[in-house]
Amino acid sequence: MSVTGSGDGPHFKRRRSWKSRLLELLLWAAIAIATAVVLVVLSEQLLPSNF
Amino acid sequence: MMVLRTLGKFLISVGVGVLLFVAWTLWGTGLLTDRAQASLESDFGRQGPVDAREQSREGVQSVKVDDSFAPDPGEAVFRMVIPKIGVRAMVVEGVETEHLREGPGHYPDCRRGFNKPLCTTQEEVWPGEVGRVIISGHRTTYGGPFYDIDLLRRGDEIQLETKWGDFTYEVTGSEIVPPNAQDIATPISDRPELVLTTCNPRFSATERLIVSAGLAEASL
Repeated sequence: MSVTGSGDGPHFKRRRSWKSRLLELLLWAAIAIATAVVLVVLSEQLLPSNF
Repeated sequence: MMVLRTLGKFLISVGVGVLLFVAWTLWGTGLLTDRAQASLESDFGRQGPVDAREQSREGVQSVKVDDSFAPDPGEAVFRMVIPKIGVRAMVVEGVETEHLREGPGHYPDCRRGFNKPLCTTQEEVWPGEVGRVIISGHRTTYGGPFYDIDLLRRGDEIQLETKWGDFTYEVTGSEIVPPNAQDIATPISDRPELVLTTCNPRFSATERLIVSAGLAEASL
């Protein structure tokens, strides 16, 4: 936990653990890869055969 | 605030996914083609010789390949070398999507395994024979064997190495036609000719680029 802010007194902000950050990163990576896979599958039908 | 932050991260992830897709389309597919080409080279090396005889009609020298030569769809049929643009590729039988993923494709006749309109009802023409040998290839994806085909000029060599002989064609010209032009399979003369077709411009399929060549040298 870190203490930030000034004036109105200290503001307490909970620092996330590295495991939580890693899990979130993996989630966004999975979404990026899923997007790419969906586009590849769609392109098999949409792109001209001799592109 | 939390929702906006999450939405922002989601859109960034989708954007990265789109970039991954573009990278796969332009370069990743080339890895698949490279692997297929290595396999085709190996298969071609194991194939035995094919019978062909020389013939001369009205002063035009050509060959006639044995009628029994009818390779299966996707089989390696000959090697194509274009020194000017650094192309060296195994050509496969057939021009359907799955064939062109492996390399440039030779336009077949409509025998078993090939479907209209990506085949001809006329007799299939092989390298060295009278008529048009037609080879289609990708311009930008799956290794882009015809990426620089627009750089070919009159007199540039296109070599075809087959199991019945080696044939050198020389470029005679090029033209741009609509993508649905079907008459490229129709011979315009009774001479041995070669036609390369691909999409034009690069990264688009709105037109088709045709490079024509005539037989200059043959060795059986």
